[in-house]
Amino acid sequence: MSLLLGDSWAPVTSEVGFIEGDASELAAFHARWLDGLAAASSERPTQVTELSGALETNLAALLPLTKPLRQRFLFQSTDSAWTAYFDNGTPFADAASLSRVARDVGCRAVRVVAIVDSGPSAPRRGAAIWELYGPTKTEFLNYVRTVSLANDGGKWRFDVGGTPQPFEETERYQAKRMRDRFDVEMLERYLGALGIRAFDESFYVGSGWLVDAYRDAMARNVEVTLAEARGALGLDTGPA
Amino acid sequence: MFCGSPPAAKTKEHILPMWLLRRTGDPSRRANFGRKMSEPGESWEFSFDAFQFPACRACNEYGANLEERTAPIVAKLLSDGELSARAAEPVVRIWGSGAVSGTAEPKSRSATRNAQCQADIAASQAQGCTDFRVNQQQVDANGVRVGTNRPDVQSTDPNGTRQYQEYDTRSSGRGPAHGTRIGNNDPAGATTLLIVP
Repeated sequence: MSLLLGDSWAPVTSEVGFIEGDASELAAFHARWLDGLAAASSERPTQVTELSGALETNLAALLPLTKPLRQRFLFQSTDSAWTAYFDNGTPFADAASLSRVARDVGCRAVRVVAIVDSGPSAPRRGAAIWELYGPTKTEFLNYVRTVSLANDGGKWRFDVGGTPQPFEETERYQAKRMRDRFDVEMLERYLGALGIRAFDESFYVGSGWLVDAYRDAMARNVEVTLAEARGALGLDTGPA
Repeated sequence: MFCGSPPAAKTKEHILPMWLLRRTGDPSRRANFGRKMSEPGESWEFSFDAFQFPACRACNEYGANLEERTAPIVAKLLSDGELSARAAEPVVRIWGSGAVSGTAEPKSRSATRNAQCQADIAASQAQGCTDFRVNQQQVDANGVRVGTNRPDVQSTDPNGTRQYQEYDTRSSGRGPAHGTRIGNNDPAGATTLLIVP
């Protein structure tokens, strides 16, 4: 199977999120929340800009990538009730922050991590992570369900938590070899059951909304080009 | 003297650090440490540099790490030098690190710890912290893996500082050693040790 845009936008597309709701409203909500933080910049208020290009064009508006603080966030419409979330963090985005959004807005949100493992000596560690967040408190925060297979520093780790969903292939979780318990193909099927075609470019249609939130602390940020970020992960330079 | 447990690999810890004693006069100057309850009219009097208590080696090392970060800040304050809020942050973190949970009688130790941990994560999320890792290998603010140890909770605050939380019981005494390791792995990070019933 092929990851989104043939994985040519990794690491930007390696971790993405999906939120139930209108993209423009969610972007505005996020901007208001960022402006309310104690660390918000008084000099440069958060800006929200509508982008009407294709997905790759809208993703380009996130560049350059920054660390340790994220400055730009893209809320991209899809052909479903879900809005896709990307950000300009490196080495990866932080879609887990959508658990707070789900709680505050009162909706469901999903975190997706899909990284093909590049081998034991490669700098890029594989992962297939699916997390479903809800509007209400659960056993752990507002996490409804977590299924995660990740290479954490050279050691594979499989975790499940929360309430199993009807479409889950739970028998696979018993596989003897940890790496067989969950993978990107299963992740894609789980997402499909929720109406999310995360790895299909045609899923992302309509406007995207870019939230640009500069804060004073970002003066110390490091900017990284997509090619540099990919190079650090042992990937080719990506789109020109 | 830090963790409340009998000292493991006992060392002697100066209650007032030597660098502070030197900075403020003769470290061996004699001082009065209060009245002797057993001998009315008599008082405890000995030199400041002899004012020591037993401490675990790990606790002492943890304290030394904090002290090392604090000393230049205190020196600046004493000399009326300029000190930015960011530069003073380690002191604020250290003073804030003694937070003790005042939770109700727990059903079990782990339940209390989980509840405290979740409440802290939710509060940190609301304050704009990102990149949480719960019981995963230590990663710094730039996403670089800096250790194979697994801090209880990690996140990056809105100022770009990596925050580490270790939850421990008063009787365990492992927290300071964990804190030392986290601090050594990421000197730019801030570690908070929380004692949970």
